[in-house]
Amino acid sequence: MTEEDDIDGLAAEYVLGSLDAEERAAVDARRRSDAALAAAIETWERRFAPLSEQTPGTAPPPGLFEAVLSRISQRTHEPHRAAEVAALRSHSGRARRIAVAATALAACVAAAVAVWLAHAPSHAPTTQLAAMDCGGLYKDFWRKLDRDKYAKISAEQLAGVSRMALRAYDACQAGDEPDADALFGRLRRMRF
Amino acid sequence: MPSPEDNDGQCSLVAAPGAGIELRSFVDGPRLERSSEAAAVSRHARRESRGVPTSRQDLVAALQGVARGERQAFELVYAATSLKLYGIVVRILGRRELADEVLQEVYVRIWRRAGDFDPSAASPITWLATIARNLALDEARRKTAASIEDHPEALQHPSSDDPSADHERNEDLRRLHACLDGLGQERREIVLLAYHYGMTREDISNRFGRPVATVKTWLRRSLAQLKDCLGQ
Repeated sequence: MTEEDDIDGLAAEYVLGSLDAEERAAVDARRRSDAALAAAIETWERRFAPLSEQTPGTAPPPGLFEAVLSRISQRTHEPHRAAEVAALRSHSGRARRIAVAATALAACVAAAVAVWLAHAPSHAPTTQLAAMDCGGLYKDFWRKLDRDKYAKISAEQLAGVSRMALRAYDACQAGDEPDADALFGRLRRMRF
Repeated sequence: MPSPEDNDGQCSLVAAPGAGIELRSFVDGPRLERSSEAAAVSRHARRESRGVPTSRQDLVAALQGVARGERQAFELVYAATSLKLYGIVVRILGRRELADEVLQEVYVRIWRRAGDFDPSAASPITWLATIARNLALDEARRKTAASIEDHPEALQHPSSDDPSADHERNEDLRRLHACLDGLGQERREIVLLAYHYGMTREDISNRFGRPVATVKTWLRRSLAQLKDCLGQ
């Protein structure tokens, strides 16, 4: 089997959904830097797309859209979030411009926090600042971990959780806030 | 300007020439409070189950509106697609409470990532369905392996009764099914179970009583054959 076949087979199985947690996470990580794999995944998504379009619909529970809106506006105390929500609610050009400016500002603050964390002594408080405190979020996850619960799951699942926490931290440090946010959110809601 | 209550069940989405979109009959007019907005959206979603004539172009315009941060466009995308995306997520996760969480996450991601959508690279529903499938599969891999029930309906050829499905998409679907049929019954079944229900090689191995390595070989061969058959 050539490497090209292998990439295509892996991409196909990734899209099909037959990979286990570990392989799936590995493909997720690799596709970011491997253009051939990323392209193969997109092609397989297109090949199978007609099946998704054909899937019968199911009505979501009432109130779900409301829950989405409140999730988007959850952290209104953070300046960039407030602006994002303002844009969502008024969709005026002005609000959008404020959102863009505030997001840029927040990114600068996050970068400054990251630098500060990297150089701060280990006993320094890490949860003081609002905008995406990567170190604080990461440490918080481990601090609140329910050890009894996690002792009962398989090593593979535990490794998956650790990897997800690392991915969330890396995404946060890389400034990919939506990804970091989604991953930390999932970690908080994790059930076994 | 009709209020939501005036609506007679027809909710038409009109792409205005030049720019922007207008969702007639429920989001226009005075701003609604959050709760009544949500009620309007769920009324709209119920209407959608009877078939809102939302074309691909309308959905592209709506997603571009979401990318600009327009709430009306976001409501429209939800109303036009939540049935389909929830259907996809529920099938993969099996459990409603998990599916509800994931569907919320799907729309949060759509709100944030709509700017990444490229209409020249994918149809809007493909882009949206990919987000839904990926988040559902991620969640499915995290939960303890739930017992996979029988899913006989996955193995049927569902009739395409979606009035908005255009001819080109129907043709793609017909070709895909013809190629799946070419795999033979058992391998076709495996591919469909993996796609619709996110069954892993191990799930398939348990279900069919074959070693995992054999399942992997079957899958890889089936997928290579599908690729040749589709010729793209």
